[in-house]
Order: sequence, then C-alpha cells, then structure tokens
Amino acid sequence: MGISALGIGKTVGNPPVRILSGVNLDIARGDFVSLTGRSGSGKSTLLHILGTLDRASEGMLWLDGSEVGSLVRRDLDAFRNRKLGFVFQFHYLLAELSALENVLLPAHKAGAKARCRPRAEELLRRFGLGHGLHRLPRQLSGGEQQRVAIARALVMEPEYLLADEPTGALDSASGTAVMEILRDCHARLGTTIILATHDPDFAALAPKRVHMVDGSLR
Amino acid sequence: MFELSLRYLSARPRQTLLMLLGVLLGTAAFIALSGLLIGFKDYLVNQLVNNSASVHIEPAKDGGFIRDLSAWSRRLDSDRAVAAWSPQLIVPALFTRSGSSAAGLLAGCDPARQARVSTISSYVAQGRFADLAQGGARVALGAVLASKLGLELGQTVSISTSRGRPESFRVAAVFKTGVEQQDSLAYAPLAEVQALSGARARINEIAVRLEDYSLAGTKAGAWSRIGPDKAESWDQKNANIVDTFKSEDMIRFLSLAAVLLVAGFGIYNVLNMTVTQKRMDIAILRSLGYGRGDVLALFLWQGFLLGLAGILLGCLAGWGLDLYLRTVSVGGNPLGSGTGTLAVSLAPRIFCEGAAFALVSACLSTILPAYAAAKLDPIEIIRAGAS
Repeated sequence: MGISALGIGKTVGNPPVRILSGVNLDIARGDFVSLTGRSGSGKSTLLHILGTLDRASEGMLWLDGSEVGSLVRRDLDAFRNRKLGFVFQFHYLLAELSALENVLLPAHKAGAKARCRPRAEELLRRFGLGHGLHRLPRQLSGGEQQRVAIARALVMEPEYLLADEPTGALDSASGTAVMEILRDCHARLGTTIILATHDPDFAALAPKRVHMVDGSLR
Repeated sequence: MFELSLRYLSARPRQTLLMLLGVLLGTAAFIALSGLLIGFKDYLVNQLVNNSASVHIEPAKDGGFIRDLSAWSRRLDSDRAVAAWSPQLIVPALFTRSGSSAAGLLAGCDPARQARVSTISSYVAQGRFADLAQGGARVALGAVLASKLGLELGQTVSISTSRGRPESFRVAAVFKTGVEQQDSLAYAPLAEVQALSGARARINEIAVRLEDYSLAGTKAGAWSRIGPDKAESWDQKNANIVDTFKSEDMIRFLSLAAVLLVAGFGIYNVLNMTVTQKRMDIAILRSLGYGRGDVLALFLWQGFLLGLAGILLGCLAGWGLDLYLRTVSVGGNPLGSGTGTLAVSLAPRIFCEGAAFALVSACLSTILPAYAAAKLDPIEIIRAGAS
C-alpha cells in the first residue's frame, strides 16, 4: 500500500514540451516526503499526477495497489474524495460558502456531511479558527484562509495529503503555523504527506526528502 | 449541488434578477398576447357559432325550400350530438318606416327554439326576444337595421317581401351582437314570415346546435350526403374568418419563439459568464472528488431554478396583465364583447403552454454552459491559475 510511480513522464502541448521524465518514486503509508526544486522543475506536475488530477504521458502509477491507468474517471473522483487531501499554494475557497461549509465540501460529496461536522468544527478550532466558523473567506486573513483549506483537505481523514507550496503565499509566521499543522497531522493521525516546497527550511522538516531538477528526481 | 447553486444565485442578485426578468417578461408577454388572440378568436367563434348555429341545413338550390321537414325532424331529434335545432324561413325583405327604408334579411323562426339554438336572446339590448311569441305581428330587429330606420322599441315598421303586400310589425326587441352582418337581421315568428312571403308551411333553413361545435364539419358532411339538401358547418360558412385564425396561430407561434429567445439568451449569457468566473471553483470541486456530473448539476440547477421561478412569476404577471386588459374599453367596435371591453382568454392551456416552453427554453440555454463547465479540465485551470 502507498503510492508507487514507475517511469512517470509528462509532456504537454504541441509541439510537446517535456515536464517530467523517468520519475520513480515509492511512498509508503505514513511517510512524510518533501519535494524540493526550483519553480518549473516539475514539482507541481508530479504532485498533480500523484493526486490523479493530471495523467502521466508515460509510465505507471499505483495508488493503494490499483494501477491508475486501469481506473475510470468515476473511481478517480471517488479516490480523491475519500483518500486524498489537496492543499494548493492559493487557498481556493468557494467565496459563497462559510469557512465551515468549505471544510465540509468533501464530506458533502461523500454524503457524510452530518457525520463529519463535529470533526470539521474541531479542526477549525484546533487551527485557531473557532471564532470564524461561519465567516465567509473574504472575512478571513490569508493565513486563516489557508488553514481553512488545510482543514478541508483533512476533514475526510485522508490517507494522503498532497500539499503544493502551501506556505508560498503566506508570511513567515503563518507559514510556520501551517507547517506545524502538517507535522502534527503526520504525527497524530499518521497521514502520509507529500509536500512540494522551494523553502529549504520547511523541506528540512520532512524525514524523507526528494529533490527535483528539470523534471527528474535527483 | 442544489444548495450550492442556490448560493451562487443569491450571491449575485443583480445577474440573477436579470435572468429572472428575462423569463418572467417572456412568459408574461406570451400569456398576455395569447390571451388577447385566443380571447378574440373565442369571441369570434362564439359569435359565428352561437349567434347563428353550428350547422345550417339549406336547400341545394338557392331560392328553394327544405324538401322533407318531417324526415329532418326525426333525424335530428334522434341524434344525440344535436343539442337543439330550429326550422327557419329566411327571406330578403324591405323594411320601411315613414319614408326611410332599408333592405335586410327577415328570419322567420319559433322564438323559443331559436333561443335554444343560438345565443341571440342574450344580446337583446331592448325588449325581450321571447316576446316575439306573444302573438300578433312582432319583430326583433338588429341594432344596425334599427338605427338605419331610426326605430325604437314599441314602434311599428312596415315589412314587405317580393311575394306579398307590406305588413306592419311591432318592434318587440332590439339586439346587438357587435357583428354587423348579424345586426342587420330581423327575426319574426315563423308563421308571420310564411304568410308575408306567401310560402305557407315552408322553410328554407334548419339551424342546428351541436353539443360539441368542433364536430360541426363531420356532421355537416354526413348530413350533406343524405341529400337532397346541403348542410354547411359554421367554419365552412365562414371560411374566410376561420382562415384568419391560422395567421393568429402563426403570431402566437412567433411570439412563443420570442419568449424562447428572450428568456434563453438571458440565462445563456449570464451562466456562460458565471462558468468563466467560477473556473477556479470548478477546479477545486473536481480536486475534492466531485465528478463531471456534479459540475453539470451545479449549473443545470441554476438554470432550472431560475426558469421555474421566472415562470411562476411570469404566469402571475401574465394573469394580472390579462385581468387588466379585460377592463380596457374598446367601445362599440367588433373587438368588444358584450360588455364593450377586450375579450381576453384566461384558458389554463395558455399558461401551460407558456410555462412549458419557457421551461424548455431555460433548460436548453442552461445545458450548453453547464456542459462546457463539466468538460473543463481541472488541471488546466489550476495550472493557469498558478502561473
């Protein structure tokens, strides 16, 4: 169980531009892996492929023992919904929904809104947002919004948390707080975390580190 | 998705209102226009059918008489589709009063039977149609004829036909249907007219009212084949007017197309814009495990809800407009019903048509943007958003 990538490559556009080539990666359950590299080195693309948002042009990817190429879109949607949590550089909250409603979006899709509500509230409180449960995203600061987005990624208690530069748009205090949350999550829930970041200090927090250069692992 | 689509709609009240107004106005306009056109048509049909009759049975040759009244009597009495029938003798006559004279048709009839065949008695403005039966030489005049001669209730008029001497008739009733042709007629008891025109015990027309006037064509055809007399249905007799109904239906059809366009374009434009504005939301929802179907539903719900709300309000507005139009006075012109105001139909059929087509239009114009939203690739949006 876990995520295994074998010879993953990715080209986009026409004429094709190569973004990834020959990526082999094994991530076991409970791992905390940091993915470093300059911007444009392919971190985001690899993360998107691992998270089934994007498809590899070549190579094979196993998620919990299932080969992604053999799964239909519906299965992938369900996998993302129940097993994966995404955190992006920008928070991407739905502006019309309150913090709590945003957190509950994955649960809503899974039909577990009522069951997940206590956990959603607890997550938000733990992230220091107890006062803002019913506020709209625009009434929260950037750091608060990102913490809501992380709570959203965690509300289904996913096996995997994929974080793409989660601190990239935050000031250093907020960034540190977010990193604390990720570490806490890994330590307490045993969530498998893959963190793409170009900040060497944050990357150093991860027990396992992978460095990318021009679309390949070094 | 239903909940989220409601949020989307309420988060942008101005755009929502715009889309709502499109559907509302389209539906209301269609209902009001249809109400007017169908009201006018119903009014005309009512005039044509009920003031005369559904089917007229006449001798095959002009100037002849119905050959065998007793055979017709048996046939019509035993026919369950026939509601009532009235034998008539209709002759051209000259109406004279103190120097002024006017030509017109004089219809001899049994007043009681005639009242059951046509609605003529309900259009009587002065006097009573039934008073014709009180004996003596009495006549009911159409308003046009009466005003030509300056005649009023209770006065006498001299009537002559080509076959006999003039006789004096007392005006027992004046009726006004609003149709000039009808209002140039005069009715008198059958026996009086037969005596006046020297055609004793003869009739030259049988007016038949059917339970369902739409059967008139079939019935008329069947009766004509029996011969030797010919039977004409109201729509054959008034073919030119019936033809105009077709152009009315065309106008309604075109106005319906306008409803489709107006309501549809509003929704299509705004939803298209929404899809563009909400690209990031779509990508997020997809990354959280929402499928294409969910995204499709998110936008379809918006169009459907708007359509539904717009239709309900539009029906109300159309209804109100119709009620207002009913109070608009059109004076004495033929558009006027008995009360001199516009005839506006409030038939449920109109509301159903308007609602059904507006809903179809709302849904159709929603499908394209919704489908485009469902087809968006989340990774492309995220990639574009990040750079």
